[in-house]
Amino acid sequence: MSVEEVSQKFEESVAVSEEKEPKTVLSDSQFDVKHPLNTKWTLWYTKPAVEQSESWSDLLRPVTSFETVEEFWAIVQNIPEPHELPLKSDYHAFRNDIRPEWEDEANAKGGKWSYQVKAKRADIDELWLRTLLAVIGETIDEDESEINGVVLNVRKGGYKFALWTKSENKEALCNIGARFKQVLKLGDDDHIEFFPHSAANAKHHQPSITL
Amino acid sequence: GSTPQVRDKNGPQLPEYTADYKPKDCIHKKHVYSINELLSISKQIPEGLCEEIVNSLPKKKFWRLSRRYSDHGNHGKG
Repeated sequence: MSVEEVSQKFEESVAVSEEKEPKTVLSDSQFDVKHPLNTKWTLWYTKPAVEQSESWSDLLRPVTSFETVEEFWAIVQNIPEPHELPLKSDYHAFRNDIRPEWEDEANAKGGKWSYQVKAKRADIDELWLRTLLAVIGETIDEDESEINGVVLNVRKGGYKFALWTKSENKEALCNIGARFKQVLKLGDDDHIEFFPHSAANAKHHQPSITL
Repeated sequence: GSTPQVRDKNGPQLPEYTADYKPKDCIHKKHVYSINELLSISKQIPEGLCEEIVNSLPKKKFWRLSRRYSDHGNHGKG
């Protein structure tokens, strides 16, 4: 199912009749007023491969889309938490219909801030939730939006967090990176790295910025 | 009082990012929420909406939660 099909299916299921008066907290206990997000977001999931024949496109699937804070919470409360995810799986949350692939034209000129939590951390679910909230609430991004999405990779070496950006604008990236460190509760001795997507296929992919 | 500033020794000086942090003077973004604002909304989710969402989500087997990974190299993306 494509992102567009998932979005349409979701919009049909939650459409509110135009004939109904919107219910506020003053008129009805089941009030309809929701808190809109700045953009639509799509949650993707990379399944762990179970057969050698499975390709990347078989495994990377859009799960659902959301446009309000309420929809976000209803989703998050009903999907696996990071500590429940299997190895080699990923969560991705990207704006609108941007695919979580560096070849997508929205990503191609940007890169990703990346940090790996090496050991088993008891607060991994909290860190992922903080990252998601910082991203969808727009408190980690610049006013002229740079962040396209956020990714969580579940690997044997630990959980890898990444913020994907649309450009390599150094000033904006450094602001975002500094906030990202605070969202992840990192200290001066912890370092995050920015990897441009343009160098993704290089033999030794080096960071262009370290904070 | 003034907003606490944080300086990462390698990075720019920015207001301290807390769960109540919201950027000032957003021109291009209409809907901005602090972490605590988002958390407070989590306590007010209409029951009907939850049910609709649950029905639209993939079933448990989609997530392959109990699968061991097949060790046949990197997917090479992301």
